[in-house]
Amino acid sequence: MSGMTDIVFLLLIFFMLTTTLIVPAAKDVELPESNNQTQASPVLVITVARDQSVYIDDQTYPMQGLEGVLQQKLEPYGPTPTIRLNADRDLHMQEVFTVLTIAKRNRYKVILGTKPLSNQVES
Amino acid sequence: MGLRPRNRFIDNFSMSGMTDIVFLLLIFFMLTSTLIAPNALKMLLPSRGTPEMQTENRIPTVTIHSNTRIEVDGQTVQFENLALILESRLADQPDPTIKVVTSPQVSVGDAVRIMNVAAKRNYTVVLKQL
Repeated sequence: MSGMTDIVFLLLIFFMLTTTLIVPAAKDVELPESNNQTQASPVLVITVARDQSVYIDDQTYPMQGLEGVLQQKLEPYGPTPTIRLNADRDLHMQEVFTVLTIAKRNRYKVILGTKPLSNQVES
Repeated sequence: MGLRPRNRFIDNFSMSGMTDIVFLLLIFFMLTSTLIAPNALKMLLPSRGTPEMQTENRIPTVTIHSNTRIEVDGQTVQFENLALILESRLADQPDPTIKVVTSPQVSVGDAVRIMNVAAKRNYTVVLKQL
């Protein structure tokens, strides 16, 4: 039976790691609140903080060179990869539109990261 | 001398207890990893190829100004009434869609508040910059 136990252990470790790695938080931002959920699985997380600094995988990038960085990072993921944009709730939409325009030009799908509503005052 | 060692090693080791626990943990993590749907909103920009012109007048446009004033098709509305207005406009639409036009100075939180109203009612939201 030890062979099966080995396999079960390996599977257990695999699923434990995938559950914890699902949302890698590059930088802490105060996300906007929404209860909407989506099944789309993003391959990359872009975090834009309140001071307009852009983070991808713990590294900071200038907004100007973002398109090149994204093209390079998303090249292995096929023609229409999904990216998750974690924008601070106090950030202006200007920066969101900058990222959306880049995404549209390169045919990336964008989902906006949110956190569950803290109080149910939604109409 | 009838002395026997008190602590004897148990020479038959049973693994079944541990296997049970590991199996339970495995099932738990398998279920949680598949059931997690991240909280997020889809962002759509108007595409050039869509035949928007024919249906343009039937799509309500929600405009958010920099002072968080909300307009629906040019008429100022209160946030509390927005859901009712959109529901009445989109009642008979097979694929309800709204256009959200935001000023660049609007905060992401305020825009998401409007998008929540639409997302809750399964309306498609198309974003546009003012």
